[in-house]
Amino acid sequence: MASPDGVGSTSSVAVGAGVAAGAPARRRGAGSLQALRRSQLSFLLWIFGPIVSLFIIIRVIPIFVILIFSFTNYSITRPVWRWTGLVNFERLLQDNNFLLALWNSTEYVLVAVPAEIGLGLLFAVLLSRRVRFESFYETLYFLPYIIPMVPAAIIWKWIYAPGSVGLANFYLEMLGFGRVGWLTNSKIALLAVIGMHVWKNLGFFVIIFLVGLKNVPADVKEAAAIDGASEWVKVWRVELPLLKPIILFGAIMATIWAWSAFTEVYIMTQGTDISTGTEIAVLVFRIYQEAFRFYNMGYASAISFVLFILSLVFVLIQFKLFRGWKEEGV
Amino acid sequence: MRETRHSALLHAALMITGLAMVFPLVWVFLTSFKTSQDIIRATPTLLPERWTLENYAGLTKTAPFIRFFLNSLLISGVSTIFIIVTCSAAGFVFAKYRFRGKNLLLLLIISTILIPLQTYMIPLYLLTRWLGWINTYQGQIFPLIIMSSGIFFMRQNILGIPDELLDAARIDGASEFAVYLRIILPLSVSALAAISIVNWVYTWSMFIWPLVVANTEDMFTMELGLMYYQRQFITEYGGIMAACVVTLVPVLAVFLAFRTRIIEGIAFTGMKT
Amino acid sequence: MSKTLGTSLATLLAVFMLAAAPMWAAAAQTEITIWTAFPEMHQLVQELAAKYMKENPNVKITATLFPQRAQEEKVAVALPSGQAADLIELDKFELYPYYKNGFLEPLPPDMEAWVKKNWPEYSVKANTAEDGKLFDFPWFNAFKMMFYNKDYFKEAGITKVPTTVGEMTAASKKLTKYDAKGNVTRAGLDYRIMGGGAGTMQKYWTQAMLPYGAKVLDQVGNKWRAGYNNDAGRNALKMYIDAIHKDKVVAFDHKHDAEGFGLGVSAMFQREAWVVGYLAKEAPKLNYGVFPMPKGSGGWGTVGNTMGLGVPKSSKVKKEAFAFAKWMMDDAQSVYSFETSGWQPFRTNVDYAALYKKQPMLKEFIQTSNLAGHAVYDYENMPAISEVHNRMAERVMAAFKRADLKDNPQGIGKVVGEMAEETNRVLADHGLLAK
Repeated sequence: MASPDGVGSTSSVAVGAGVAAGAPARRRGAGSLQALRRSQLSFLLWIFGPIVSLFIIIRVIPIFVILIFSFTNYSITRPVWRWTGLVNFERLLQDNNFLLALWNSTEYVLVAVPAEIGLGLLFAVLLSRRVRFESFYETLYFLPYIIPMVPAAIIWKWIYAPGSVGLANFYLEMLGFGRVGWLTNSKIALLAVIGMHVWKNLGFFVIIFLVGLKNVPADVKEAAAIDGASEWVKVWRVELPLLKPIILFGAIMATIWAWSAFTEVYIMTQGTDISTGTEIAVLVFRIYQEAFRFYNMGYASAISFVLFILSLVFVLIQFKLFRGWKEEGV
Repeated sequence: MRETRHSALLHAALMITGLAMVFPLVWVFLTSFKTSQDIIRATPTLLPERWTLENYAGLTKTAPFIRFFLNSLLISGVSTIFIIVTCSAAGFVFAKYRFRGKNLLLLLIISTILIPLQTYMIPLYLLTRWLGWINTYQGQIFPLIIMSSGIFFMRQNILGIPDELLDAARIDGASEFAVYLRIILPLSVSALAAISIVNWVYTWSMFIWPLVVANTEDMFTMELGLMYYQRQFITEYGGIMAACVVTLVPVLAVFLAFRTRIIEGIAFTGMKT
Repeated sequence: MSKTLGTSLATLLAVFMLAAAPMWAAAAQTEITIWTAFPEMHQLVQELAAKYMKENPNVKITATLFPQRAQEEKVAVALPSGQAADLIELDKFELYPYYKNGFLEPLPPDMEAWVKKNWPEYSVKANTAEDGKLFDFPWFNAFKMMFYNKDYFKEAGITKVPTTVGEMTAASKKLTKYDAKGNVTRAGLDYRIMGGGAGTMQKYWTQAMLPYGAKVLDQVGNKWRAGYNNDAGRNALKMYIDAIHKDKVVAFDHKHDAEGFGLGVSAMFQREAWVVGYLAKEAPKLNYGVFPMPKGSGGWGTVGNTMGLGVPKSSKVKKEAFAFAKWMMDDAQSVYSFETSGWQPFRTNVDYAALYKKQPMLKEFIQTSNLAGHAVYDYENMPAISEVHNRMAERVMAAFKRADLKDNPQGIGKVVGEMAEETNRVLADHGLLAK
């Protein structure tokens, strides 16, 4: 009863005020249906309910509070604050730092997401060809993901360091190429940081795509092989489409991580020896700066508000794009 | 013939990329064995001039790293156990139940992934203070017991579990709890292992939340411990690298332990007919 | 019977007292918590605390370390909610906004008198709020001087240490070395041109603005406005632009700061006393010296900003906290602190003779702090000062990268003008802009 995409159809029994779609087996009597409903209600009440409540307390309410702050001039150091309406938002539109950060964050997403998804798929496909030492390669790819950001950023600073001090330039010069101002050249500084970001997260995407590929049913693959499909066609036409829900998940996570990147940018701008200027500042960096250096919590909250709305837009676009939301009625 | 050529190319591509990925980590590893004079040089060298263990020996002298390690273990461990339960249960409901407002709720949950912790840290801190959990383990753990992206991921995975399986169990009189425990959970092991790793890594390397909640050293995590090497204007590179290597070990261990489950585990994630 | 009763009562009493003893001991012990921002400081505080606890067994001191940026965040979150430590170590310009908003306790009269008696006047002034009270203990002084490489000076035939800005820039040109491709291999003067936000602005202020007489802020009554949108301010920027793009005595792509100086990659640079300890450890053979910031056409002086200790109003052990802080700054402890942490205590009237024998260079720092005619500046006590400096830092760092500003007075004028506009806007936002 699977739909062509291979994702199981859902004919779950509705609970409460919902409409029952897809009939349960006719053999059941009314009593069983009620018992089922009761059981499901019970599960919702005792398990799902608390989880959602926790969620509301830990995430939703604090976020809501922040959104309220964005309409005030709240400052951490000042105990008295007042409602200022849209003043913070008006200021945002004219704030060059904010607009630059907005642009940088967008650039971040536009570069990092295709890179992570594309390369992730590429290596997942390669690894799923039942290569020897597969587990070795997987571990290699995954290592950058689990290393803490601070030492990683320090190493990358060394790699990108200007002049002949940096490893990258050192090897480039040894091979006869010229130096590159990885961090000192404003045009490529952000790309250099994005490069590090992609390096760090790639392992995650390789793993989740690999999981998906491994779960492609063997008979589907055999059927394609019997039809004489080449390796390439097998991958492109058969396996990847089955991966759509996972790719959607991956794309959304990649987008969110790129959009809310902070630590790596922050570390790159610090330090008196090897650092960039604040031309690579991204949105969360500005939020942090406004909130904790300048104590303008209200303004920082306004930036957070914008961050949130734009993220939402990005995510919704991706859902539409993928149509990986395989459920009836949606 | 084609196979061998292909597989050689395959290996080459994988190897080169693999080495590129790992190269910075090799640096971390080797740097942890260098003396500080060796590290601060005009031109960098890969191998240490003189191998030394002083960075590792100095770890516990600089700060109580063993305590930090155990704290991190506790926080990441408890958090991961919680999210295994909360994400699978919530994912189950979102994938297999129907009720009004479900999709809206799901959208709400997903949308909160979009806001990083830094931005709503202050209200959360005030809540923690109200609960009296500042400078406690509970205070550091409780925001980490739910994982929005985990719920989303489990939903996507559980979507693929055929309803026939569930209905069959229900017909046999199984309660929803039983369905959850005996069908959903076992079939989601692979996906749960995946989000466990992600959560483990995330909580292990978390900085900002433990920073504001922990007031005294005995509550610090390893990530906070790394800052002991960030002197005012100089970084003690050797020390940071040694601490980093030590930090990596448990995370790597968890990964290797779960790896087979994730990769080799054949689970009903909706890909099968 | 009475005997049994008596014995039982006595036993009961004894048991009770035994059980209560730890409670009593705990109650008798005052607990002071202190947060420090740097490992060197943390180590020092732990050692001092151990000493203090030996002399005062009824006090327990717990020191926790949060590195600088983290300390700022931590204090921002904890202090207003009354969750901060009893003693907080931070730059004074970061402590001030908390005082202004009523979260910090000013020094009690006896402490205040002690500070006024034992601290240099400029330090007392810099740490006094508008209400006339001292809002923090001025602990350490980030006093800037110029470091120079004696061997390089000799090699270039420079026999006299520069005393004016003109002499210094001339010397820097002679000291710079290039490779075949024109890259700078040795910076004549390692100007601070990147990294770390307000720090870059601090060095720029000291290096360029002060000698030309450009002030960051002009005070008008109890309001402020940008004080550098003038020839002095423009000349200050021109000094850096010329150094980077015209005379090319410093570049972006070589090692900088203490590391660079220690490796011989620069001939001169501006920094504080802690470098002395760093060089003793990392570059013991380096033949270097220090000289005071040179005189300029508009002034002579340096920036010696305060790293202070503040006590929150919410602290339950204010008196004991102040007492411990005072003890940490007495003569014996000041010498010890200077020696172990490398940081220069604000107290200049202490006998550091024994220390000078081990680190003769430190004498220069203390002596220059008291040099007649040489002014010592600190950040203004104003809530928005951090924002003003951070924003200026971003702008100057962006300007330093612009080669088109070379020989371009209009360009420089525009940059400085826009910078001043932003400073004034920040002041206006806080209701502090003078008309």
